[in-house]
Amino acid sequence: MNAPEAREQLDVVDRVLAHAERSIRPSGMLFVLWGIVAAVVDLTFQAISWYSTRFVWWWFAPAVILYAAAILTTIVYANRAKRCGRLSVIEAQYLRVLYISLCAAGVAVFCASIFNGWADGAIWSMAFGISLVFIGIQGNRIALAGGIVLFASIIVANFVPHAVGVVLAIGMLIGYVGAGIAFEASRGPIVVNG
Amino acid sequence: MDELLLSKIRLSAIAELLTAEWATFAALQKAIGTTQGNLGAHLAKLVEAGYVSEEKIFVDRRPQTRYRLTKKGRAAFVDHVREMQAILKQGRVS
Repeated sequence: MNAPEAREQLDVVDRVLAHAERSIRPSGMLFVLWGIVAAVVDLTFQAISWYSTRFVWWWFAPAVILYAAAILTTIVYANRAKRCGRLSVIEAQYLRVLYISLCAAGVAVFCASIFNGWADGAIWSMAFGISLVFIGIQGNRIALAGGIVLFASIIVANFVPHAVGVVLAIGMLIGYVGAGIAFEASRGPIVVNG
Repeated sequence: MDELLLSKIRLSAIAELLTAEWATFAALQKAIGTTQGNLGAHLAKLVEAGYVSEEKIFVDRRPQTRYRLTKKGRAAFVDHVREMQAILKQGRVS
């Protein structure tokens, strides 16, 4: 092959990638929607802490309605993406992270009692859990197992109020540290040339 | 040099799938701008070589064929582009 033929081949690639660049921008609609939902939830809790001393269920009605609408819209968006001819890598990654974050938010709501007193510990477990599950759904079973252990530790800690810190620490050691050791063990020795 | 990627249609299909999680046959045909029969034959070769995976699913009760770039296909594409760049560089030097 000569240089002009190689140039022609690279031009084909450039043309295709230039077109693809325009089509990999994710839809901003879901960012706007989930941002509004999160802001309304924050403002609801802030309003309750300022103006109410007791639990009033209907204060949560707007947040719950918006949350349900956002979940519905996300499902519709994901289904529409399946019907169209192409799903970009960025859209697929965004949807995966969004689903994991929603599951994590569900765990957080379920474990509300931990998040009052043990917020820092639980948030660490939650954040590390999200990162591991995200790696896990790309096909890494060790990371997936580690993430599930971390999420499970948050749920279990909810039922052991006298030893929340111990349960979260065990979850972190098994789920995160354990995953790290398993990653290292599966890497094999590093060969340095020269 | 990867003989399989010397075809412009096969190279375009791989490049198109590079930034896609998956793409349907129709989307690839639209992006590449070729006939159904031609693209079908080229995609079959890529699937046979393990560069692209093919899955047939039903969306709204209609059959849909989706294509994904495999790790082998991605590596082959990167190597091919690298070789093309090297040839171009050599051509400029000489």
